[in-house]
Amino acid sequence: MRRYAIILGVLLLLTLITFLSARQLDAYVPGVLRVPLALGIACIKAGLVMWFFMHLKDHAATNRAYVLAAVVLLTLMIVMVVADVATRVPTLNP
Amino acid sequence: MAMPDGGGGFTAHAEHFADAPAERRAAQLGMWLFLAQELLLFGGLFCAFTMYRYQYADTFRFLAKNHLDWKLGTLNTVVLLVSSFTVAAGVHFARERKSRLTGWAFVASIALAEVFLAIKYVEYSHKLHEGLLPGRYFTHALLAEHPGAPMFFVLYFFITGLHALHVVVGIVLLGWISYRAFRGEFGRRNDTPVELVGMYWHLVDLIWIFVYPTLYLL
Amino acid sequence: MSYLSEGTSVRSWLGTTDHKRIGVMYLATTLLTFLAGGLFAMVLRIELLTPGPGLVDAQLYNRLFTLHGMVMVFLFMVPAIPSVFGNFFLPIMVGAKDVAFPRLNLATYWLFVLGIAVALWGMVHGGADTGWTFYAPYSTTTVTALAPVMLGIFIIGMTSVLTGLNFIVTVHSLRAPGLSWGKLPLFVWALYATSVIQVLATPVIGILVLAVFAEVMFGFGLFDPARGGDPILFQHLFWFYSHPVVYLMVLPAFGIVSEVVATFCRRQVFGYKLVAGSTVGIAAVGFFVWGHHMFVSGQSTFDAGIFGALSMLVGVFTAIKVFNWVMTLYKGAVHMTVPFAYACAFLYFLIFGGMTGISLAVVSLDVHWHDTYYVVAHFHFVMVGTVLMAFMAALHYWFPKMFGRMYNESAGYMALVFLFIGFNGTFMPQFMLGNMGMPRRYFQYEEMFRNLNVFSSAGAALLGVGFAIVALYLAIALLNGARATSSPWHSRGYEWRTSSPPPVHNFDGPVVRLNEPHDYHQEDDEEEVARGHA
Repeated sequence: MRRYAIILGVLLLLTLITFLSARQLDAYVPGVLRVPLALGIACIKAGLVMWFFMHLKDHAATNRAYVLAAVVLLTLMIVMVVADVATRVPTLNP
Repeated sequence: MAMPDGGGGFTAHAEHFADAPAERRAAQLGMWLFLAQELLLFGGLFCAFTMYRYQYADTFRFLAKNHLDWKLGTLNTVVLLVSSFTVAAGVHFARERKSRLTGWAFVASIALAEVFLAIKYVEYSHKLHEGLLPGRYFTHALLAEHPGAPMFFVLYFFITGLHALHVVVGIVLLGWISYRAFRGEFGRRNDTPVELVGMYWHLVDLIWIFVYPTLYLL
Repeated sequence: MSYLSEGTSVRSWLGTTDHKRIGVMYLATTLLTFLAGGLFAMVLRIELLTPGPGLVDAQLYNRLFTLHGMVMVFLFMVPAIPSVFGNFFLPIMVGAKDVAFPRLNLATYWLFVLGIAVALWGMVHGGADTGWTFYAPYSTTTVTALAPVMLGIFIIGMTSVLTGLNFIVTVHSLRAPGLSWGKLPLFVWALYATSVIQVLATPVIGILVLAVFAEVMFGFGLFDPARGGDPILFQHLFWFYSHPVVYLMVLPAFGIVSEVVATFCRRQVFGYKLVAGSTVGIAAVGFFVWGHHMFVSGQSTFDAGIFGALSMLVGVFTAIKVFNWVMTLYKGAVHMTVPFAYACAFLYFLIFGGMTGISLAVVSLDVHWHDTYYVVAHFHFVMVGTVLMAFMAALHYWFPKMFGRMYNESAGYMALVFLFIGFNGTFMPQFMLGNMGMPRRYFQYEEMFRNLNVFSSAGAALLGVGFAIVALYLAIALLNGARATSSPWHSRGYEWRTSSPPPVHNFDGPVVRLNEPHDYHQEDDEEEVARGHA
């Protein structure tokens, strides 16, 4: 039980950091870091919830593999879609 | 290697499984597979959001800052994180055969979930008031100034709406487990249903962990 | 007591949790959806006999090819092999009494029926005319009511996820003692890879149909340029699922061919590990190539280049399989039977279908062929020529096991001749038509395309005759066929070690795994021969 309380504490702290860096203290955070920082912290929070609250740590390796597979595919989808809009150039032939 | 089993040595299991721990592990894998597909379900929406955030970067940043209430969003995040804690506690109590405590832990989670929905309701009614609604119901003057504005709210309502739907389903499931817990079922029987519903609820929290920074802060 | 005779009431069937009965119910259902899809195709081919308007008008033609495509893809091709033969044989092949979650299995079947009802009602009532790919913004602005169709497809998608989930957990949790992954039948490997695709790819089409539903109902505008949306986003999300879905359809077919080839060459497939590995490889690579459906849609050339290059990888894995099957024939003791003949037809069609797929993956060539009959011919070769032939092979291979009856082999060969000639007649001309530039989904065409179209329609008629013959002799066999022994093909696959039809709990005694599947080196056990097991 104590472990869960500690994890909750960490999660709340990370939430605080996310919102401070995005709102109150955003002047101190370089623009290019804002997005990776917020999303990175979200990933850590998600990882903590999965690892401890959902007991992924104790479960069979297969379960971890499937979570990883879902994350990899999602990343692939987002990367290729954003790459599409990021690399569209106007062609010579209208 | 940790070998999670039924805890407390429950032995009853369905006929086609070798033993109770095998059945429990199968149920866990099944639930993770279901959650993996839920991640990809919401993932499609996050993909859409990322693409439009890239295309309408200034508009989205402006709208997130000025037209979404980050205080309520943060509060909702805290509410769900605490509810995840209470659910984890409930699963823990069930494993120790303390059925009534499980019941109370899950009731606390339901209460927090309802707070979440109430806050959502406040946010939504605020949007309704301002005409910041999705699709053909968008009636705010922002449309003229910022072409990406309606799209932001389409994604906002779609993502948070689908999430809220999952919260409602979660409340029903938590309620069902609480009912069974108060009848003392998890003192004498397999607590796998508690764990599975708990995992579902954690997923609901997980989605929000990403929704919060994506929509409200960036 | 076989599974067929245990309880004969309607209720014992409709409420069964026995995976074998559920498989048979899926068979009945998918044969009906196949019939419906086939009838729509017949009307299309009759219309295309003449260059001008014939039987139907443009709107109805659009609705018909949409019906044909949606019914065939979502209501037949995706569920057929996994839900019929997967349900029936997966537990037996891993030595289990049932799938991991039998009640979920039953619920999934009824959800499937519900999805069919909702989707068909929508297609017929409002009439979807968007093509099976229902691209936005047309699909979100067309007058035909797409909302119920989207709902139906969502429900069917859920059944796909749940079936895949059930199978994955079954393979992980219910293998008989001593049955390691390296001893699994290749059909099981195929079903496993298929199930992974089902679980991970389907939610993306799920969210897409929800998005289209929301656009139709509330004017959301996610893909509508007038509201700031991008139609290409629709295509990205659509093909992210729909490319893996073609591997979902074809991988179980590969698994069946592995089983059939092993039995009728009386040896395990050459390079078992490579075949198993390439199965998983195809499933994985299949997720990385979806943009090759979008070369001319407006996607950036950067993305197009990446997708085109990655698409070549699939050919590598498929080639590995084809070489391995052919090597199995070499120095194998080949027995010609109807199922094996279907497997041979499969190999022939896979070469053409697969190679034309690779040619389509070349961007510069695809620019010429996109949305022409070349593409139509390619995917019919792989879907009908490959998957459907494998389905027929499975049906003929496992009919004695499932129903305990033998069918007339001569009738089987006769039907196959009709199907083979009919198939080639229907779709070979379409490669040429596509190359000449005939666009797909057009109900009228230029005079110069007439002869090839007539030829194609004639081939389709032969196909219809072939299927009718199959239906006839299988029905007769069901009612009146000779009783089958437990291993009429003398196969050493795991499923042949139990009686035909199998008992309710699949095996009469404890499951003993002595060797690998299809191990024909072992001496014939006299007792087994006497019992008809060898």
